Amino acid sequence: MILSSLILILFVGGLVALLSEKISAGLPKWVAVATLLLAWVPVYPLFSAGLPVTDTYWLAEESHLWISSFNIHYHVAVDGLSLLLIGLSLAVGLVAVGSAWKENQHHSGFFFLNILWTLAGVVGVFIAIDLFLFFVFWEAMLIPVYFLMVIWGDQGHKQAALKFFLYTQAGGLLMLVSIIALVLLHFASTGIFSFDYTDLIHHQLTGTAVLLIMLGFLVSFAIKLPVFPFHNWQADAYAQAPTAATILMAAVMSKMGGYGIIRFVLPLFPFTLQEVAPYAMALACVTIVYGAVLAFAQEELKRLIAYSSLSHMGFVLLGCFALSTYGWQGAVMQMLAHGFSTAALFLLAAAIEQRYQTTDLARLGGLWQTAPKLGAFGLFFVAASLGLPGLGNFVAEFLVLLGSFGNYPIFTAIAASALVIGAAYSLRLAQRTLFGPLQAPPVSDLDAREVLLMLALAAALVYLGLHPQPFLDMAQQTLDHFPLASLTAGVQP
Amino acid sequence: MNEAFFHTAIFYIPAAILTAAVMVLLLQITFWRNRLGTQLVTTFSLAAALLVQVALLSQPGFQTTLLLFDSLSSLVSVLVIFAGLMISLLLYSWLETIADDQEEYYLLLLLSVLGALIVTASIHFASFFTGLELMGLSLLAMVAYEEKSHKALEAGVKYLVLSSTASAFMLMGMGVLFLYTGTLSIPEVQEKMGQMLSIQQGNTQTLIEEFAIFLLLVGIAFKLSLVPAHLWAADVVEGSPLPTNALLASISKASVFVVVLRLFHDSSFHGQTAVMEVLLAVAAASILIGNLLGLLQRNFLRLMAFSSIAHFGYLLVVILALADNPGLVSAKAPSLITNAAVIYLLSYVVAITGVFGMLMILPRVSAISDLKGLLWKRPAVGVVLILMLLSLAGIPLTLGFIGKFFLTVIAVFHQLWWLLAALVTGSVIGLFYYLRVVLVICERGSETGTSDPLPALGFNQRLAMIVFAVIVLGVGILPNGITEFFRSLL
Repeated sequence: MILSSLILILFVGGLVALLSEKISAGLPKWVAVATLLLAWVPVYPLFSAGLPVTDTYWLAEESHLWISSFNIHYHVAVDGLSLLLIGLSLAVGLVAVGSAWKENQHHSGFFFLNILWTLAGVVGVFIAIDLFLFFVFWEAMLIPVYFLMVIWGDQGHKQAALKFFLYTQAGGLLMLVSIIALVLLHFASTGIFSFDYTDLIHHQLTGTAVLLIMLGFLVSFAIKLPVFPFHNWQADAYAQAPTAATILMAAVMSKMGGYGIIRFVLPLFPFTLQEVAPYAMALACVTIVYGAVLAFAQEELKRLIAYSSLSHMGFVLLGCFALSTYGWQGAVMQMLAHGFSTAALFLLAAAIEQRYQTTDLARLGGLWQTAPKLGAFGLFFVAASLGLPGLGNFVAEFLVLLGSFGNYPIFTAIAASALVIGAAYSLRLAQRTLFGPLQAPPVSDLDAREVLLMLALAAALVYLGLHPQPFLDMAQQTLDHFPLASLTAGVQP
Repeated sequence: MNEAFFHTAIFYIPAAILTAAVMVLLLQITFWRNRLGTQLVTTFSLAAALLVQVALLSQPGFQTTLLLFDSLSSLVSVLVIFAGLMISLLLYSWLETIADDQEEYYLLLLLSVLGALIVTASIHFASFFTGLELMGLSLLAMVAYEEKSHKALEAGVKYLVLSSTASAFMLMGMGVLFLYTGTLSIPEVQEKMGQMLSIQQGNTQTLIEEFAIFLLLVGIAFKLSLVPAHLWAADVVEGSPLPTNALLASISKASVFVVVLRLFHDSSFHGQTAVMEVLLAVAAASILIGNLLGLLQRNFLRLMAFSSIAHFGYLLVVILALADNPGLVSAKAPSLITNAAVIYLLSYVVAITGVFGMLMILPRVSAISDLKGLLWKRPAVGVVLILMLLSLAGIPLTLGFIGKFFLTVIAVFHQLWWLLAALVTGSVIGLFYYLRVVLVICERGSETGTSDPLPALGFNQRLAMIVFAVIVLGVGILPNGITEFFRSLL
């Protein structure tokens, strides 16, 4: 019940937020905050539960029969990896709600309903163990995000929203076909007809059909991360969505792609991974470099952050296909660290936009002079984004590069070179917005709410950077259990 | 009355109720024209017929020369009467807008539902044709009902000419089959054809069979608005009144599809490779053309027509799966296929009736932009309409997704890869225009309060909205009740 209660809290909280608008226009945001804080209640004990000692591997588990014609169950469970990402989602959810505090949206009840329901869908994706249920949550989460973009987005939002939905849906349908084909092949070879991950894991398949199925999954997750060449939807969507939605998309939803690869693609298709790995690594490198170069060329703040996000997600893919323990650990750390740092950067972008009504880099400059707190936090998060040691992103990128060097030194070299470009665009961002001559009239500095949110994110990044071991242990719980060990046989850890 | 008679007679009760209602209406229209009275007679007779038909689901079926009452026909009959009932619920306030003499519409509605019931239960070409024409002629009159509209008359003429041509083709096909097999009863035709196939090896005999089936298919393709007989759909749907569109899209197609299922269940039909190849092309073309042409539409009604074309393209997957393709899980195949067909028909009928039903509540809607801002002006109607559109698009947590999932599973089971590719491509293209409509509905227009107060929703309208929403969401989220129920029956 713990896990379902988590989703239920978010779902009901959304409904309450919708209805509370009738009482007062300012009430929904408080309801949203209360819901997100309440959502920690079922989850918190699991964090301190430590590694499970029971036979069943999961930290918490729940299963009900759902569609008996196909032996589909409502089967949800968490282990270390899921728990980390759920924690990230809830924390970033609070940041997203906080970012929308002052914005006075029309129909704020519906706005916060969509935010909470998006989070419910995302949490659902992270806990679903039955493949059909995973797919349902994957798709269902798109609807509230679509509404957020369409109703409260900036100009040009229609195209952006449509592109986002179509790309994700195309990937989703490919994944559905792959899921059904996988289940069918599994049935043909073992006689067990099941959509359940724990059943499918026990017997990995080989053959050309399996390669196609794996590609179906991989394309769908590649669209979500995103990875070049499926990244077209990202910059527009991030730039034109309302900030809260962008924070959710960039910091949480993109992690669904990485989660999907680690949870499903790697354990279910170990034999086909070796064939695909070089291509995936190549694509990851292209993504890293391409994202970095494009970020450097941007003139608009949100698009710059979007492309930097693309570049960072390339590291996740690089780490996943490095096929080494360090690489996977790095990928997980990158998901966490990037989640926090991107949320912070978009929060900053929102703060700037609110004060200056523009995110055009040509019109911004010298912000530090009038808003020193904004400047200080801006510089801090820019440093985090470029991978300053001592902060989370550095640990992540270091682990990824260390892990991938053993098998693919050339790709590692290319990715490492992109770090230089990363530093270039990050510093350019800081220079153009915070330093230089003051372009715009002085405005108010960050208020208490914004300072609080940014302090929290900064603290998280510092903690990740200086003491990452607890997080790595939780991730390792997942990485140990599933037959990933066979992949690293004979290869550097 | 003995037991046997009772067990057979009860199956006729729904049709008998509707026939009695038709007679009552005829008398009422002649002697005492009263709109409320007509509405009540229609709605209550349809409700009674629905209740009896649902009760009949648990009865063992039986077969006569002309009619077969088994679980498939009972289930689809429930769907047909349900669609008629939902439409009739919403008719009262809507009919005022289109014509002076309104009571005849109810009469035609009942007659078309009756025709659809006959077609659904038919197992003989005579009953099939009778039911088809009864349904078709009633629908024709309903298409051209709005006497003052040029578009309606144009739609009516188009439907008349094309429907008659299609019927002529079908009659010719039936005639050739009669010539060939000496009988018009469908099971006997299939049996005789099967015998001839096993005896004869020569090409000429197969040619006659294929020819006859193709002639039949021409008529069927027209009724189901499949490519290449789809050109009538957009114009007719644009011109005819909304409840007629709902009936055309739902009961007309669902009942004919049942006959197609019955025809192709037998190996004499689905063993004809030429026919199946053509059907594959028709299915893929319907999916792609239906979705692509929908992209260009600015008129919401035409959009719905093209979406309907695409949906029946999807449904043809079921027919193609019946072919003797050694699928990976052939043991599960036959009942799963019928199961999938019925679930998809359920999702389609409910969703399309819901869309047109919601349109009936709104003031005249023709262009997509007429729906602008609906979510804010009339939130309840907007939400239900969005839900119906998402169900048609196949988004999870709606009934439409369950239907599409069943179809996808069948396509993968039977290794229909090209069709699956078309299905996925078509779904994504279709999503484009469904989302565009959802976008328009969500658009915030000028929020100035100059809009005149909208009429409050009546009880019947609220009831219809709740029923649609509950079915689409309820079965979408918890499909097990319905899927297990169907599995136990079929």
